[in-house]
Amino acid sequence: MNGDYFPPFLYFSLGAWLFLFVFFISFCIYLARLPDDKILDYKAKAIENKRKLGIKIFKF
Amino acid sequence: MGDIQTIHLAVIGAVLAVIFLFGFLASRRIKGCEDMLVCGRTLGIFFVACSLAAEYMGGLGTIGVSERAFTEGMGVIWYHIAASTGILLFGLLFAHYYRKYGIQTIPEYLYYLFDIKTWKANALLNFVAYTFFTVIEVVALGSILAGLTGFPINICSVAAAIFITLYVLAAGMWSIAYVSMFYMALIYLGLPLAFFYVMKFGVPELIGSGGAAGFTGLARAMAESGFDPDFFFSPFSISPMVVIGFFIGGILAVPAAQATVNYAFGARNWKIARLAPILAAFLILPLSIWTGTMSLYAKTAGLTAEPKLALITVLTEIPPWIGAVGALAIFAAILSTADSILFAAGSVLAKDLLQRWMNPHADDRTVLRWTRFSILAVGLIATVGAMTVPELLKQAYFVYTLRAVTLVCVFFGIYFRRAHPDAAFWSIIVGLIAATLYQFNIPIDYKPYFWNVHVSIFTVMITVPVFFVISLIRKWTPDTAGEPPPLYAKEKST
Repeated sequence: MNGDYFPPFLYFSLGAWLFLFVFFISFCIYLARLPDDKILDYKAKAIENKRKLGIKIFKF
Repeated sequence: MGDIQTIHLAVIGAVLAVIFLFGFLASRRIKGCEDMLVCGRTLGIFFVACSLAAEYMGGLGTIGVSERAFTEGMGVIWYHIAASTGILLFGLLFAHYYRKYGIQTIPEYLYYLFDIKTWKANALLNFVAYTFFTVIEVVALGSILAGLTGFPINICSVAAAIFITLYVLAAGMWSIAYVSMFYMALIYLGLPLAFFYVMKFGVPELIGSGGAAGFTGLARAMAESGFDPDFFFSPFSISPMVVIGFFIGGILAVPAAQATVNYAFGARNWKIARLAPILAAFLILPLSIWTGTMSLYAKTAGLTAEPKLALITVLTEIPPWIGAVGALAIFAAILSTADSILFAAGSVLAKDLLQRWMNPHADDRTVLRWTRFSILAVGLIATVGAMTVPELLKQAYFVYTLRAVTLVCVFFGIYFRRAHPDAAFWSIIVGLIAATLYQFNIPIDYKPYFWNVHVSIFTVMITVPVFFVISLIRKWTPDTAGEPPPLYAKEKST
C-alpha cells in the first residue's frame, strides 16, 4: 500500500453519486421544459377503465 | 454517570430543545386539516427531499449498514445504491400520479384506482402495520438513547415516544418537514465530521498503518491485523444474491409506503413531487461510505468484537464532542423514521378510518381535532408498547410486507390495462395470509423451498400471479367498482 490508496468501493459509490447528480440536473431541465398541464397526459390505466365504462369516481 | 455520558446528555438536551422550537414554529402554520396532513400542499423541493431522505435513512441505513460492513466489507454500499434506486423509481413512475389526484393517503389512491373494499382493507391494514412499527421504532430509539445516556432502556423508550408524539402533535407534517431539515443538517454534519476525524487522526495511530492517514493507513493496518483489504474494500465483497435482495427490498420499500411517500403529497406541484425524490436519492447515497468505513476502523483497531456495536463504539472513542455530534446524527436518522411512521399511522386513522369511513360529514375543524387525537392515540399505544415490549413485536417487522403488496396493486393499477378491483383486494388478502404463514412457519418452514428469500419478496412472488390471474378472469363492466364512498351512500339512501 504505497502512496495514496483509493479503495475500489469508492469508485462505485462516488460514481453512483455523480450519476445521480447529473441525472438530477438533467431531470430538472427536462421537467422545467414540460408544460404545467402535461400532468393531464399521465393517466392511470385502472382509472381510464372506469372513465371508459362511465363508472363514477367520487372525490373523497 | 461518566463525563462522556454527561456530554451526550447535554448535547441531546440541546437538540431536543431545538426540535421543540421547530415544533412550536411549525404549529403557527396550522389553519386546517390539510395543513396538518399535507402542509397545505405548499412544500418546496428541499422540504420534500429532506423529509423523504430522513425517513428512509433510519436504523437499518446507519447501524445496520455498519454492522454488515464489519463482517462483509464495503460491498454494503449497494444497500444505499439500491435504496436510492427505489426512491428514484418512486419519482419517475409514481409521484406525479399521486400528486395529480391530490391524495392524502395511499389507501385513498387505491379507491381511485379500484374500489371501496380495497380502500377499506388497505386503510385498516396500513393503520395496524404502522402502529406496530411505531412501537418498534420507539424501542430502537430507546436503545440508542440508553447507550448514550446510561439510563434504562424502558425509560428511554417511553421518553422517546412522548417526545415524538408531542412534536408531531404540534403541527403534523409541518413539524416533520421542519425537523427533517434539521435532521439532515445533523446527519450531514455529524457523520462526515466523525468520519474525517477517524481517518485523519485515528487511523495513523493504528498498529501497522505506518503513521499514514486515510484509506492508505487503514488498508495497511488491516493487512497487518490479518484482514484482507482487497476483500473488505471491494464493492463486490458481498454475494450477488444479497445485492439483488437489496435492490428488490429497496424498490419494494418505497413507492407505496405511506410513511415515506406522503411528503410528495404535500409538494407544491407535480413537478416538485417528481423531482424531490431524485434529490432525496442523492442525499442518502453516501451514508454507507461513512458508516461502513468507521465500522472497518473499529474492526481493525479491535474496539469491539460485536458488529452491532461497531459504529457506536467508534463514536465513544473519538473526542466526546465530535462523537456526540456523530451519535446525534444516528439518533436523528432513527428519530426521523419514527416520527414519519407515527404520523403515517395517525393520518390513516384520522382521514381514512375516522373521517371517510365513520363520519364523512365531519367539518374541517373536527377532522383537525381527530387528526390530533389520532396522533396522540398512536403515541400512547407506542408509549405503552415501549414499556411492555413483548418479544413477539420483533416478529412484527413482517407487517411491512404490506408496503410490497400495496406497491403491486398501485403499480398494476397505473400501468396494467386489465388491473381489476377484485384482483387488488384479493392480492392484499392473499399476500398478507401468505406473509403470515411464511414468517411464522405455519404449518411448515417454507424458507428452504423459496431460497430463503425475505418475506417481502416471497409475498410479491405470491401476489403478482394472484393479481394477474384474477385480472385476466374478471372483466370490467359498468357495475365494477360501483359502490360509492360512505358519504355518497348516505346521500343516495335519503
